[in-house]
Amino acid sequence: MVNLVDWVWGLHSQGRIIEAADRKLNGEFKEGEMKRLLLLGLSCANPDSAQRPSMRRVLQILNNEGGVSLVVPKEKPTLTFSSGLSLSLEDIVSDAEEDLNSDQVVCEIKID
Amino acid sequence: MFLRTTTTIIIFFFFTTTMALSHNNTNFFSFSFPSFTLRNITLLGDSFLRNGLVGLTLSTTVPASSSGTLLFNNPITTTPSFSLSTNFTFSITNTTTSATPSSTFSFFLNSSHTLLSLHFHPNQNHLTLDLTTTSNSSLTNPTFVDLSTDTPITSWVDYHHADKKKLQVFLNYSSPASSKPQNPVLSVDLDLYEYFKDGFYVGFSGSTLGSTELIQLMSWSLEFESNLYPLINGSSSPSSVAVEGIPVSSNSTKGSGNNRGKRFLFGLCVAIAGPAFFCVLLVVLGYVSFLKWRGLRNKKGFGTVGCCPKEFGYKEVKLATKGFHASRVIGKGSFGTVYKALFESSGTIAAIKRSRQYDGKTEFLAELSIIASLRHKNLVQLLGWCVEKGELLLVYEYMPNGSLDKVLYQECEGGNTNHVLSWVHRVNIAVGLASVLSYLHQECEQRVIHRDIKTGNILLDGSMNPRLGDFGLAKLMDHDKSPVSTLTAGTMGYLAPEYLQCGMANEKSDVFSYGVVVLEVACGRSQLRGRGRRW
Repeated sequence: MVNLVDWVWGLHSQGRIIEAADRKLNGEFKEGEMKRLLLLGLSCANPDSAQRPSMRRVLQILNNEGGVSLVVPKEKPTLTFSSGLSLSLEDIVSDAEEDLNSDQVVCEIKID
Repeated sequence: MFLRTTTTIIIFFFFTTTMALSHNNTNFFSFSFPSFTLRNITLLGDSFLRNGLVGLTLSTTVPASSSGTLLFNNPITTTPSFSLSTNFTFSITNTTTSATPSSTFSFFLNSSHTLLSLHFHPNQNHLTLDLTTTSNSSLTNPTFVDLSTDTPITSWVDYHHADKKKLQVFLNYSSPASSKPQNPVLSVDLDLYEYFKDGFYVGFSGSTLGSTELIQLMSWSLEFESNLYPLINGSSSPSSVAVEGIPVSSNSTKGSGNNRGKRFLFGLCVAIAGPAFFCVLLVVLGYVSFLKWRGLRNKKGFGTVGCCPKEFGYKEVKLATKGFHASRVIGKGSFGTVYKALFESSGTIAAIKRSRQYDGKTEFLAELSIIASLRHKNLVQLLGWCVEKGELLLVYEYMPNGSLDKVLYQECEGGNTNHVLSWVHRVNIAVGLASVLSYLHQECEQRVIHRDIKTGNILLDGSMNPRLGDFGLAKLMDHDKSPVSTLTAGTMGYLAPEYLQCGMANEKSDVFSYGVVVLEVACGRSQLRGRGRRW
């Protein structure tokens, strides 16, 4: 049995994330909104905690506040646990950003 | 002088028939602060003076708990027949829109053993008169004025000994032409001298509880009048009169000069308006206070109307759940069984969570007090608790639409698609949850990690708004040290990988669980059951 996060992430990798939408809704939803909610769910459920948005940012994304972009890697990041507790938060964050930038297959949704 | 005496005689003629005026030696003082300086007032706590305004709470955009007090420096000495008339203009401004308002602005009279306060609650738009002596009594009325609109509001508080010892409060939006409304928002028969025989201090206080309102006092004026020798009417005797000097603030120097003019005008008005006006007013006020009196009787007298969680009696809870009868069970969780309770005395329906695992830790009650102080529209409000015989009972608001997992998945079980949760509701649920988590993680004073966010812990109120429940109980139950409860089915799929690995929960592990919930809401598939075909 595949868990929900992996299943949606798999569809996202294939560019078919919209197929994850609840069929019981019979298509009665706005596609853009659905896509945004699914991507938001994925970015929150990122195995790497440093890449998850804060709740305030989540709220900004949902409220369509300007200048907030939501980036979800096409491939679900694999998590490696490190005991390097000496790493500062900045190091972790900048590493994550570098990883993101070097990743060629990213899907970006920009919200005006 | 002649006119003054005449005026007084006219007034009292219409109010009493048996009163006789023995000696008309009245004392009068007034002060007026069109804007404030540090003269004649004392600022305590978080209060501050800026541009002639007094701020009573901290000016901050981050939710905080603050309180401040403004006190008029001189005590006011009372006599059995004193009158007090004051008006003040204040504003309650919420500096952010996301934080739920939770503040109180109060006007008070204080002596060493009595506190009379008038609390303005912008959250509920009501006004509470609290009288604390050896016992506590209070009376709550709606304000009919929106206190939280940021616009200045003027309130008049009048107490006239001659007017049947009635305390009246009026409210109106403040504007250059604003006038005192005809009908009071609160009127109560009260002999203030009974409570303040030794005089009182007068002032204001404001407080916020994990919110961002700035409470400002803009202006204040007060007129005080007392008869040094009281009117003789059988009950009051001249021997009980305080003959101490009335403190007069420096601002009142102009007052004493103007007093005569003011009183002259006042007398003239009364004389012209004549008895008819007073008769009508008396009938109206009599009727209003009769209604109040009837209302109070129905509420068992001066019953306190509380909004804070309180301790419930075990018997009361047992009775409300029919002795924890199986027919009242509405849910089960790792923490305990949830019962539907009906409190017949108040007609309230509540949900009661019962745990037998409680081992009486004091941290628990401390933690409970944190939860009790949280206020957000997307939280299931805790109404109270009860600890008895090793059992812990938590009383919550009852949520008529049950939990999110039931609403999301029930319809497909029966094949009935009529009750599918609409897209608008789903988006609303995602936004509401984000809002409450943002409040818990970043806005409330003590950061709170929920640690058990899942569709089963998200309840839906009557309007299908999400309410986060089971608040922090995971933490309270020492979740970290209890592998059994951590691994309970129903929680597993929502735990962030790093939480599983290290057992350390933080804001980001809550975000993970939120992400899973959002995916469930969008996909209509359960994280736990792997419903439907193989994906």
